[in-house]
Amino acid sequence: MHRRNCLLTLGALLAARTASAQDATANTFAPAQQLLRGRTVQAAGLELDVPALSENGGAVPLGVAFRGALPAGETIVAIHLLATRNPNPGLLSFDLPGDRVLPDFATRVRLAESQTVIAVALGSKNSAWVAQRKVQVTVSGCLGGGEAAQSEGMRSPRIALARPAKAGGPIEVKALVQHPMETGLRPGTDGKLLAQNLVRDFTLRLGERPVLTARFQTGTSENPYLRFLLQPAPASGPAVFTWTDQNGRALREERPLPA
Amino acid sequence: MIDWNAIPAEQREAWVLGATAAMGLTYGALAQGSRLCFLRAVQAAFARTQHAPLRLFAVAMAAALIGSQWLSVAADVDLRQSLYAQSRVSWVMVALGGVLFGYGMALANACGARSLVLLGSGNLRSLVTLLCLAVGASATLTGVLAPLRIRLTEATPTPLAATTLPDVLAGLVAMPDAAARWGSVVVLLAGLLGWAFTRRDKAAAPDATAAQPSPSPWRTLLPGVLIGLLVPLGWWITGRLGADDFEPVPLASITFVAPVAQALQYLQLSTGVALGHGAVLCAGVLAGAWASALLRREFQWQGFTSAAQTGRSMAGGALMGVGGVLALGCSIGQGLTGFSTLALSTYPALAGIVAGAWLAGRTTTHQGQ
Repeated sequence: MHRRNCLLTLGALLAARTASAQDATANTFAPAQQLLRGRTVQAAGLELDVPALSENGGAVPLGVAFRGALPAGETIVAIHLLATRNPNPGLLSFDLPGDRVLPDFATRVRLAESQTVIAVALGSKNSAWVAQRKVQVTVSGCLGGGEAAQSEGMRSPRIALARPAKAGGPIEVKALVQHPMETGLRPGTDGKLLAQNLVRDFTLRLGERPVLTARFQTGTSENPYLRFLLQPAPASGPAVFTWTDQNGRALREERPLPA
Repeated sequence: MIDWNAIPAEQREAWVLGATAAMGLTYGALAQGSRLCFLRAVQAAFARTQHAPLRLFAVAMAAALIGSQWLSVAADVDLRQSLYAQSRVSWVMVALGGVLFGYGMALANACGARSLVLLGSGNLRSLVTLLCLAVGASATLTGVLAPLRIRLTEATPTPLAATTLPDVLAGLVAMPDAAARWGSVVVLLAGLLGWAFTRRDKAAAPDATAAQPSPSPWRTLLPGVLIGLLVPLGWWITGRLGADDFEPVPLASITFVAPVAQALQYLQLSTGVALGHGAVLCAGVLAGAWASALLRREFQWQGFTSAAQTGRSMAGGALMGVGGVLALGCSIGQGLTGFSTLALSTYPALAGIVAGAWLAGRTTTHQGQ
């Protein structure tokens, strides 16, 4: 797709040639183990949807959803997405305060090479769920397209609220902001590393009440994209979308919820 | 009038694929009927006889250029987002790819696009060329040759401050964008068309001219104009029809190296690979050429007559696959589509393709398909 992703992919690819051939899994990958420490890992329930083969490691479509049965009184409060062989393990993570946003997301992530993607969902009490998928990444990305007119800051936020499929059902929300998501790992034309410049997080509030925070990391694709399901509450107030970059600059959009 | 912006997001992809298939169908029919062929155009330029193929291609280039530049203003499609206008490209590899492509094109006696059209009219030699082209292109894009390609490209960078001709002009002399854009178009076209249409035969070729009284230039050149105008149509399909805020379609138009590779990949992996632009474009061209050949009663099964001919088609296909990837496009992909963007990478690619075809003409004696 874009140049930055290619170089990230390429650099890691060359590095991988010398790295160990054995790939980590959720059982052996330290960042996953850290999240799971002291928790009871539950059987099936979390579903991770990533293509087995991806031609563009810079923007791999990823879906993660919890479709199992929750233990009594427990809700999903966070979902973390990790990659075993990226320069940084974090792809992105979601915090779900309250139960207005359903644990069902789609996004795009960066995978520097073939590796395992791990999703960890944390319950409000003591449970955790794990899902993992192997993804093969080929190196074609560099022929994908031209250079985007890059700007430093966030611009052109896009929000789409679909009408619910059935009355009173959840609304599908899509949100995207234009931003290069510069990782700080990529050299520029002069050979020096380009400064890191990331969108730090995205939050959704209904009225004053926060219902979703997505934390973006170096493994999040440029122009960070999210699709999720929102269960509107009666008289909850408008939906307020806020993106904040690593320098604390914020971009705020407000939309009324469809009736 | 259909409101294109009102198409729901989940239907957009189907619209883009359908429109791309229709565009391919039109290309196939027009190219079959008009015998558009970059190789013939280049050979005519060298031989200085038979100017018709050269003029046909020049007219297609002109229509593609004017149409695409008009579209980029009228429909706000930023052609700098296309593959051809990458800011850090290796001109050495682009030119080398062009030479490989041009040499392969002359060996196989047709470029990738022409091979698809010929296959549609029953030429089974072209099927062999296309299969080898697809394998060569895939190996270079994602396969065993990909690491080498990336290493060589990284080792020979051409850092460019400006990636298109108008940007270069605007950098040299302060001028409005429109002046730079249309100034570039006028200068390029004056040179190209002036050269193609004022050329006279080196030696009178009485047998050729006497046997075929030249038909009205409008009838011969109109298909060229129409083919050229398919290029801006392709930009519009991916850039406007496919413009979804959340799932943008990569900006692309007519080209035939990666699409042939994608078509072969789709045949093999369709349960795990999404149907893409390339596969439907190839299918469209094949169907269009087939229909046109049937209607014109020109469909005829043809095969190889010698092992040497088979070898030339295979080697030519493989060279076109490898070279087309390095050159960022084929004779059509760079010659019409890349050219239409005014991107600088087009010029070394085209120069390479012409040089490769010339080299093949000098080093091989066989001309038999």
